[in-house]
Amino acid sequence: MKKYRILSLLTVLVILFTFGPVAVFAQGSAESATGVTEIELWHRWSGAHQKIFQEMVDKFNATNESVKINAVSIPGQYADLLSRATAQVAAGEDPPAIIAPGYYLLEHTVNTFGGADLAKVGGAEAAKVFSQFEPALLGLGNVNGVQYGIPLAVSIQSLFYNADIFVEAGLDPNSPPKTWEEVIEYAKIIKNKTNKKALFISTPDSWYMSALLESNGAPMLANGKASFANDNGVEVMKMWRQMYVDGLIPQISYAESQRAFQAGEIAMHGISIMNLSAMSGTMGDALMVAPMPSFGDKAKKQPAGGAGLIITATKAKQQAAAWEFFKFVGTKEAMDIWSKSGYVSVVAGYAPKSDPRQQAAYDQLGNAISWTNWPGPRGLEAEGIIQEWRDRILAGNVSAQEGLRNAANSINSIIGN
Amino acid sequence: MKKRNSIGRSRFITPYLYIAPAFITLAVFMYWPLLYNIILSFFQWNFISPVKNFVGWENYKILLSDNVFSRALINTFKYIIGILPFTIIIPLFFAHLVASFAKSKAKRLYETLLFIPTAVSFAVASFVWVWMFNPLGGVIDRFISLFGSTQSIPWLSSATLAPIAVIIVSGWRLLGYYMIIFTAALLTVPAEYTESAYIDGAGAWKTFWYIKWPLISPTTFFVFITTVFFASSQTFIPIHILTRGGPYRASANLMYVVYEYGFRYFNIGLAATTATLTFLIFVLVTFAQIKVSERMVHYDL
Repeated sequence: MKKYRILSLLTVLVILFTFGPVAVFAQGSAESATGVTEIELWHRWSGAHQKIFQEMVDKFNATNESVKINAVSIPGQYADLLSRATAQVAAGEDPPAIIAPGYYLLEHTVNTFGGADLAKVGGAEAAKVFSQFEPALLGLGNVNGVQYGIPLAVSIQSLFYNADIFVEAGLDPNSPPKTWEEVIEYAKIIKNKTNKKALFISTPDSWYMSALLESNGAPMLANGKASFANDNGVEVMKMWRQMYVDGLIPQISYAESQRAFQAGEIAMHGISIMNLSAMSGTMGDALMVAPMPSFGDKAKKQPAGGAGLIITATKAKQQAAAWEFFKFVGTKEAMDIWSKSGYVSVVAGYAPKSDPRQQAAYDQLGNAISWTNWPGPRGLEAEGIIQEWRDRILAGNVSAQEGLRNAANSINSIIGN
Repeated sequence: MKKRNSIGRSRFITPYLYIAPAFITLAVFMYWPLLYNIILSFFQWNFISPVKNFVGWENYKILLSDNVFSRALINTFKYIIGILPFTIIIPLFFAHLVASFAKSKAKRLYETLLFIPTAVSFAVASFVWVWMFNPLGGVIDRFISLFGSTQSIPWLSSATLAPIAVIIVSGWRLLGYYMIIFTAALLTVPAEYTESAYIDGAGAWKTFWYIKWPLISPTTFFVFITTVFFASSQTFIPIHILTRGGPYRASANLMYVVYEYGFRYFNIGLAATTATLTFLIFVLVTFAQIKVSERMVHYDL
């Protein structure tokens, strides 16, 4: 009988062990007893960016008595940030009150987490607050005609280059290449006159590639279809591939290219302006920044990178607290801090330029377009498809024409499904 | 009469109560997730939406008609085959050497040195290898250049070399662990057996091949099984850190495809379908392993 009791106790303990955590999770978070509304803001920044972002949040918290923002860093890519938020909601908890997804994930974030319509949250003051932001950049937070997000981090494609290598090659660092034809010219000189690698173009995602295609007249998405596989798109990819064949671009990964560029092994790097603060720390004055080169005299179209802020809280009090922070983001005070990260200011008519090299980014903001949000429940797969076929083309595994056509066909077969 | 009934009931319930703790734990953490995963494979869902769209066999059709799955399956078997030398042949060689001077202090030293990589976090080790593999100024590149080579090796950006890099990192980390296991196994082989073989004129190789290895075949079988599961699941970490499955999915295995569908594209239906097919394939592999073990594994010691 004693044995029977022990076994019964053991069984109860196992059940408690198994289901106990579920019960604890189901309780959710408690309201603050001090009258201060505390809300969480999840972002993906780490290292120097995280410190600068935290500085901005601290400034807000110090000047606001009724709202406290707890910034939570989820280091990784934007998809990793959403994975964590998804896991939290799937586990039965509320999502963070504010989330900072990449612009290409805005539609997915709104569809998944149900973002709040900022015009309704802001009420009478919404229009005034919206006017604090640069109009073209405010549009980045607009999903299907509704203002769900405000811009926070805005980056733009740039050309970073090493002035020391330019001098070694006999090139003038104050006259960087303005077109891709000039880039190739410069790259050949660098290859012949130095033992450095000439160039790398960012490949962690399809962002820089999208800017190249769009700027040469190959739209990523038009009339609901992937439309980049036209002659202009093929021309871009042929040029890019040829730079590998000619030994102007080394066969390395994006992560390796960043390290090699900072170590002075690569002369030019097509990369996001958001890398300015991190790279200037290691390269000092040798690092110079130019706008992304164009294709001849064609107008550039550059998908803005970075992240906006979306309110995912459903309770009115939390939404109002988030709105207070959004108002702060639209101030010069906030941008004086945030622009130190390398991201450009989102406040209308205000370019603090904590680093004069940011000017190259401000010069290009007029070219900014939205980063493609691929539609449909399988739309996110488009990003992986583009990267796969891009890498195949660059490796010489398929022709530019075949690669782009296959990518477009694959995407068109899944978007909208 | 009442007491007898009570004893009978107790005897009837007791075995179930013994089993209950294990069964409940397995049911909650193993069987239900497995069953739920299979159920999810018939839906299109994003993990959060209250609505799950039933799509029947559509996810299976997509996966089996798309070469993403088939390539990941081939890569998974490439990893199994590639990692096996690092978990069987090389550890066995080192274990044989270490066991041969069992009473020396050097045994402990060599065991420690070879085991150190196993003690390092897999993620940390992978990050260190990313630096070492860098074709522009990485340790390996500099080492090769000492011999006059001017050609850098694109370890992580070549479709051929990226899977090899994953195998090297995984194998490097596992080698010490399996060497310890094989050393322990070799030390259990009775000295009389090997001494008899030597007296009969068998050399070191023949003694190993015909006496020692057959006698440690249960250990080899254990290592083989764990390697298969390691290569199919744990290689996720080096893949994610070294190559992110690229270039053009050349280094993505089945687990990485599950991750991509589930946590990059938030398509839980396709992730669950990939996981279900992976489960079925490895059930077959396990049956095959058991059949092979019945013929080749000896439990004579």
